[in-house]
Amino acid sequence: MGLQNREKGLNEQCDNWDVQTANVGISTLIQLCQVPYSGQLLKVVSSAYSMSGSPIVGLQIQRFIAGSGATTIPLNGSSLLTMTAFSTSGILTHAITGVGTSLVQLQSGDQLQAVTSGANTAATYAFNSIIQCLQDFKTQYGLFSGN
Amino acid sequence: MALVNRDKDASEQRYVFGDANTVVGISTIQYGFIAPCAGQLLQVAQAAFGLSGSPTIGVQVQRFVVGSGLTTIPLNGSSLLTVTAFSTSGMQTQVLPAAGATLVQLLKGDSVQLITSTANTAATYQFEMVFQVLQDIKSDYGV
Repeated sequence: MGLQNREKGLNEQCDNWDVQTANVGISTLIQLCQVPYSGQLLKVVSSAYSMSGSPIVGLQIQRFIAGSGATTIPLNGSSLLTMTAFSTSGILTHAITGVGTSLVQLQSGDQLQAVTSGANTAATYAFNSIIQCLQDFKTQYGLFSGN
Repeated sequence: MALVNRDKDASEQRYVFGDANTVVGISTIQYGFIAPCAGQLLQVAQAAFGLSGSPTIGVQVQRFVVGSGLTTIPLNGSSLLTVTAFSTSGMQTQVLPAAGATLVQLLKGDSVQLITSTANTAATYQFEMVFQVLQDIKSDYGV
């Protein structure tokens, strides 16, 4: 019988989404991931290069529900991350709501995003988002193995 | 018992990180991925589209250590890759030190990058980097 998600160790149930964005300006929306399955967001780390100013980055989820429209769910509250350069601090970890809380529970089709604020020009950002699949049998956008 | 990384065959311990960059100029750094845990870089493959000139591309690792600062580690030496268009050569692979060599051993938080040199304008690059996790039980940035 094929290996299923529930038979994996917790760390093996995680997927890593890797995104780079160049020339990020002020109040820019950066798309990090379109969630393929029910899961939870465990961690987001980022690094910044060639910075000008001190940009602030927050995380949010946009969820679309037919009939209701899109809802934006901020994940950081007031704990937005002030970016420093990779050469100054290495990778930075975003403070997000704790594992298991409802805010970090994701659904298939959710859009995970970062939004910048504060003064910032000509920076390059790299983001890595770790999402744990919580399904016994993993699906990708509704596709079950064998589809 | 739940499946962990050490239970996998070497080929199943690998992860592919990739991206595409447009309008890549001369001496431009393209950021590949941030190593999520200890591992080794096995392969970098790339394809180029809409080339002008003959750019060369090298692979480097930037490592930040608290107290020491930033170190840049070039992986190709003098064997930089001269890029040709996908329509000419298809996908190309970088010449890296062999698996197991110290240079390709990555630590959590290392930034793997491509850097262009010589004449090149208006190119689009697609690159994929193959990373093998060397931990018995895989972690992602400590989780």
